[in-house]
Amino acid sequence: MNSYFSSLPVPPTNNHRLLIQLSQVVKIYNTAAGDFTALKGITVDLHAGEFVGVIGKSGAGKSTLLNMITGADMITSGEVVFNDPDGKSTSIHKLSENSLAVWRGCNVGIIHQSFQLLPMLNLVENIMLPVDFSGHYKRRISKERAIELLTLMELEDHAYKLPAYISGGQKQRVAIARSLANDPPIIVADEPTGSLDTLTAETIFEIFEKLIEQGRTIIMVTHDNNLAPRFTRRLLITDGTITADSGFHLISTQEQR
Amino acid sequence: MNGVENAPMIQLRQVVKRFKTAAGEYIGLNGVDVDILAGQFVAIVGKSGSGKSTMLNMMTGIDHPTSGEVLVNGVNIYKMSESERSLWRGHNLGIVFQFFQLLPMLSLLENTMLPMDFCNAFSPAERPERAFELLKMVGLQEHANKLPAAVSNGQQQAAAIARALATDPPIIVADEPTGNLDSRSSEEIIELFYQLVLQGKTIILVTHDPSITKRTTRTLIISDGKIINETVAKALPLLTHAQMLKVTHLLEKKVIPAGNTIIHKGEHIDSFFMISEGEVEIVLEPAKQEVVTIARLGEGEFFGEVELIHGGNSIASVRAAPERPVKLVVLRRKDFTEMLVGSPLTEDAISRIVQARMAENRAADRRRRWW
Repeated sequence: MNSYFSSLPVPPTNNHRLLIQLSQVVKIYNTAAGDFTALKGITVDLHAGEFVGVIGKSGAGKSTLLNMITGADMITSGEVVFNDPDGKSTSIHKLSENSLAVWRGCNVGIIHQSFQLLPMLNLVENIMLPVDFSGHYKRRISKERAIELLTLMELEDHAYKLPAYISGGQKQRVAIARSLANDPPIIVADEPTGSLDTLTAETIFEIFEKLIEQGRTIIMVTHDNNLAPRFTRRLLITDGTITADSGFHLISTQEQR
Repeated sequence: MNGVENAPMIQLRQVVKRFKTAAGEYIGLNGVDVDILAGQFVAIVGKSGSGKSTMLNMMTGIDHPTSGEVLVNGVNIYKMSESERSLWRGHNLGIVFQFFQLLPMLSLLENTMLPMDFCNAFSPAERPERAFELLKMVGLQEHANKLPAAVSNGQQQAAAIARALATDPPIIVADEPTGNLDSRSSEEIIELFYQLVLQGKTIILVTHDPSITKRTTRTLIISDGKIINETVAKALPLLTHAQMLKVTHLLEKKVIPAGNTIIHKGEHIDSFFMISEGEVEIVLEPAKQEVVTIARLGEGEFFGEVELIHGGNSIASVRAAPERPVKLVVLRRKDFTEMLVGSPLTEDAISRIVQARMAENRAADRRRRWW
């Protein structure tokens, strides 16, 4: 796997501006058994348009890193800065809870290994669920938009079915559709193929590659080493630190060969 | 018995569910009949693929039976339209899942408010306060404004339970609610369910977790799409599920009025009797007008095995206790013998009981002689 981490830096272009900067990110959990340091000072710059694979063993800090990027969990020390296209920079952990929710709602789509769809609601309803309660932007997308997103995922024929009637891969496509509801520039996915068979995982990965072609940025946690060559950037996390970084490229290792 | 309070909360009548797959038709449920009463805490157990989750999906209306009927709280849920059912479900059922299914972009409070928003239950002004109260009840008051990713799995499941309670439904169903939790979080979640049962909720859960079945009032075992007779499961726990199912099919049911004799001493016995409901008394009648009760057996216990194993006629009389009728399930000699051959563990266990009972009988006999 180490060969994927060989560095061949490509100078960033305008389309690939600096998007997220993590500096000295530390996360300590206070547990009954004492303090546990999940992240030990992570510093990394991520660019718009990158397809970032966060790779590492269970417990290495991969999901914690995602939570720091989305602001889902509080940072212990350090900073996560988001640069928007107008050149405005936001230190997301300094935002109030409401502003953070608005920032997240506008900029980040989140996808989970276990889909997190509500089984009692049909696919359209799942996608139309309120995306945010803060009231600062549209709480609910229209039914038309939901169906448009389902069509994009080739699920329009299933629009009014309950999740129980579709396969795992189809459920994950619904979750992707939901994450795209607000058209966020960044997609964050935690083991999105973890509960899918290889063939289905492949179709989900292809969807991600299409979203990258459209100019989105994806940060994905995975255990699956077979997927590694297809990221444009790989971060290997070991014991809360980045132990290998393949560097910023415009194309994947697979394409470089 | 109070007719209203004891009316079944959930009734499955001859429920069949077939799935069409690429490999052909697959039978998920093969004619399931079951009544679940209000206030019961029921575990549905069985091997993977036995039909547990399918049965739960029949009760929630998340899936449709191929044939048969499902009545929940007196309503035939498959006679409604999909949208009626959706609304009905929102008001009557709280559902908890193995993987929580909390929306990642919403705080725990917002997740808990969702069902109220969706069903238009409680006024919009009341909803945040109610959601907070529910989170407080499950011990999450300090985490109400956090996102699911920022709390532990156990806390996410507690939030999912708070969400399931949002519309104050009478029934809570849960599919493997502790399947993704460590043992300590599991204990806390089970305790939460237990508290809800004490508050009068009816709870049905599918589980693999023995620490749950210890707390439930009732365990339904599913094997091969059918429910194993609950008396068989209780009386003969060492059989495999497949063996229990086979015995279930061979049973004959009997109801004996209170006080009536089931077996007379000295009678030839050709059956194995298991008690489903009520109690029986094992009695000796050493002399006319004299009756010595040597044992009282209740639900899940059995009699007749001594004679079947040792041969000979009944060593005592057996009668229904005087308080109420007794319901029995009965297995014929040939089927009983076959069952023991197939299950050495069961044979061992029953032999030990036979020895203990014969010793008791001899002791009772001696007492009588000295009388």
